[in-house]
Amino acid sequence: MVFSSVLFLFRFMPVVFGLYYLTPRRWKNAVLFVVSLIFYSWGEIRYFPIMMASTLVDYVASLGIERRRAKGFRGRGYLALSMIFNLGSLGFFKYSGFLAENLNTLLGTSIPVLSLTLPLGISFYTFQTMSYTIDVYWNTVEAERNFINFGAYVTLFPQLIAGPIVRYTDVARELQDRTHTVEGVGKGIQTFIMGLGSKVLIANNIGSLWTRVEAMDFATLSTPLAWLGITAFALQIYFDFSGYSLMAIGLGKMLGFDFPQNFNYPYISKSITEFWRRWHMTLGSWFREYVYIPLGGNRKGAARQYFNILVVWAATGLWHGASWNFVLWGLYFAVFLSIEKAFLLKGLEKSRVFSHLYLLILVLVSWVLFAITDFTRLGQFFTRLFGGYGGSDWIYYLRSYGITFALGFVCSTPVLRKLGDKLGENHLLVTLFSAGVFLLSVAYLVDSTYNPFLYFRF
Amino acid sequence: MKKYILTVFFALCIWGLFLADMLVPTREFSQLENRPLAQSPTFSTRALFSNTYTLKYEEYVNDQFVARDSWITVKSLGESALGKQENNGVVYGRNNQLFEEASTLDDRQFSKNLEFIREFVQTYGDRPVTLTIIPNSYAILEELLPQGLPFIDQKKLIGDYYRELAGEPVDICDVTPALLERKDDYIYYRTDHHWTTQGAYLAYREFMELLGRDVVALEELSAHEVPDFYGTYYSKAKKWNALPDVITWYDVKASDVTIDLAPVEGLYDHEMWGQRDKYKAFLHGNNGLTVIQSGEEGAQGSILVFKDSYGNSLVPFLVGSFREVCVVDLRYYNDVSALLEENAYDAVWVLYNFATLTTDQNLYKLAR
Repeated sequence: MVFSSVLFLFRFMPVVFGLYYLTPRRWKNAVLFVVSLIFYSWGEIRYFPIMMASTLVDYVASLGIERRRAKGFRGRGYLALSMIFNLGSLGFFKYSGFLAENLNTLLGTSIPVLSLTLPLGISFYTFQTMSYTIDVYWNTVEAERNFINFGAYVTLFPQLIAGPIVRYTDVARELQDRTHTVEGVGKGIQTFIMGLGSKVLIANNIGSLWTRVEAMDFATLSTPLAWLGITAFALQIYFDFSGYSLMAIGLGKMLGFDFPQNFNYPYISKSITEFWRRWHMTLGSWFREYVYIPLGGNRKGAARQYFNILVVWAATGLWHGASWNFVLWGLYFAVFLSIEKAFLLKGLEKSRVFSHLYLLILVLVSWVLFAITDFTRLGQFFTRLFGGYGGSDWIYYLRSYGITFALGFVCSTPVLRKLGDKLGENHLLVTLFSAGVFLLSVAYLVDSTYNPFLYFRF
Repeated sequence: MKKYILTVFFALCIWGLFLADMLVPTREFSQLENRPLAQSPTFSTRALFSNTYTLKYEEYVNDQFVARDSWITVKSLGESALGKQENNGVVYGRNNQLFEEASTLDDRQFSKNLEFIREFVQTYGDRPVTLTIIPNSYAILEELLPQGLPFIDQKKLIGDYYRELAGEPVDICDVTPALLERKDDYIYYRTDHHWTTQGAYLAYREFMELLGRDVVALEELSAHEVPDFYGTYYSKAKKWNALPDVITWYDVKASDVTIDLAPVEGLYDHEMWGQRDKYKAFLHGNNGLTVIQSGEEGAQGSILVFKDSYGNSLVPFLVGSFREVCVVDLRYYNDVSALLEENAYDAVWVLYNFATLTTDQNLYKLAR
């Protein structure tokens, strides 16, 4: 199930929140566990056993680690069990096809390429549960003994399928004991609506421009339209992703949880380094904690540090999708992060205009690598982007999407938030704005299922 | 108190609409969308485990959502506020003219249909066959199109099509010049994808002149107007300030009309003038085989017309000129060869609009 649907807003939410608030405190986690499983399995019931297995394995592995530790061992076997299960299922569902295809090309073998349906959110929840078991192994957190509490953590529906990547340590205390206040719920609603609006009103809207550009023959694209298209994609992916995170954070608040922030206006950054501190923050910190630092981080000399950066970013790229262009996309960032680390960063931080231009152009180029999986088309698109091709194909689109672009640009900066802070979060204008965004979002959602049968070509 | 307003509003929205959804009776059919709406699915473990129950349930929730049509209007308003020149694939042109977006063409069906027509005219080479491809509004009303939005070059494609058939035993009745000449008149509906009856008349006149026969002048017929026609483009876009169309129909006497051999009353289904889909009144909508005996003096000869819905508003003019008019819609009729073998028509007219010719998959029946 997705948040941005009539089904979620007007069936799941009223029923689940009604149930949740009416349930006595000690049963709340059980309610969360059950409804989250329904949320997850809705539409694909085969996900249910996968999710249960994932929950059980990490529950058992962590308890196993503690038991071994009591006997003076470290519990490596149990850690390995969790790693193999999590990375194994991720690898099987997400990367086996990619691997088989590449082996077949490389070695001339004919390993059958399975077409598997990727379980919803597997990239997110495997990382979450792995972080938990590793934390137990490192003894930074105690294993959860209550299976219901643990199950509620793993399956917690707000963050289950698209982040933020909530580590167990982020919510361990709240799982045991949390408070529910009307103020908290109100803040949660406000955040949720902003997320819904980001996704439905901005991301979907501007995304339709990229969808159209993408469907065109790149060989005839004008340079302005190519830039419009990729800018549309940049706004789409930002508002889609950050919108989903905001909805998750808002829903979390309504349930009494404080999830970590995931996006902090990344497009106002002055360097790639800063960009990645503001974009998908929970993924960045996950890779830092569990890959970069264990590899030695910056403590083993410069050469090793650059190698570590390369590994982390190749992995980050691959995490985003099983295709070479994503690896390329990750390595692209590794290169610029290394350059900035070596000498460029200080200069960028001092500059006022150049650094923003530098960042925006580099990020837009990175989105080209991200958005186009076919290498021939990728080459064509770059040619149009930098080739200075004229044409009038962009006029209509600029006119039609101009206001949406402007809206996207404004909302990419903290301007509106600052205005809201100035007015105060309970100012009537802020409330009216939120209510309007909510109603308009619902209208767009209903329209997305609008399907007039006009025997159109009769 | 102020800090609770949003919470109360949100709670009222989700629980209120949830309850309203439960209480409001379900609708069977949507006039606006012109389709039956999803109904509450019956639960079974089998349906649950094959994932069909959840899927159908979501369709049902979406289709039956309270005030669905009004939400769609709100979205259309939102799009206009964003300065969009379009909604749901319908583009807003000048002078309140709506167009369907058409920037790319999959020409496979188009070429296939050309071959079916070629086979047809070769098989019936001894019959007087005429072909007309009716251009859609965007090809004629170019000046009303939004600036910079590319459309398919229909006029060129239609010309190419005609040239492909040069040398075949078929007469081409090219109506494009006649339509272009009168492009400032009301020849296409603003809110619908059809031509108006006036547009259809221009094609009728071209056709009769090609045959070298007398044309019934429009002034000789008594006209009736039906206002407030909101057509298919309107249904798609729900443009809040769309200007409704006026449908004109003309009195032409038909002494006998049968649809698939069953007799019906007259050339028009007058009940439909009061409905949403008013265009359906012409020839009682799209039907397989319609046979009309003219009641007009001076009507002579017989004609067979293969047509799509564009033809429906043109046929009444033919009834004024031909004693017998046979109308075939290939989507609902299969037995073309029997028809041609049993009847010696004085004229055969293949009359299709461009959009149908590029998508319709029934023209193979011509070549069977």
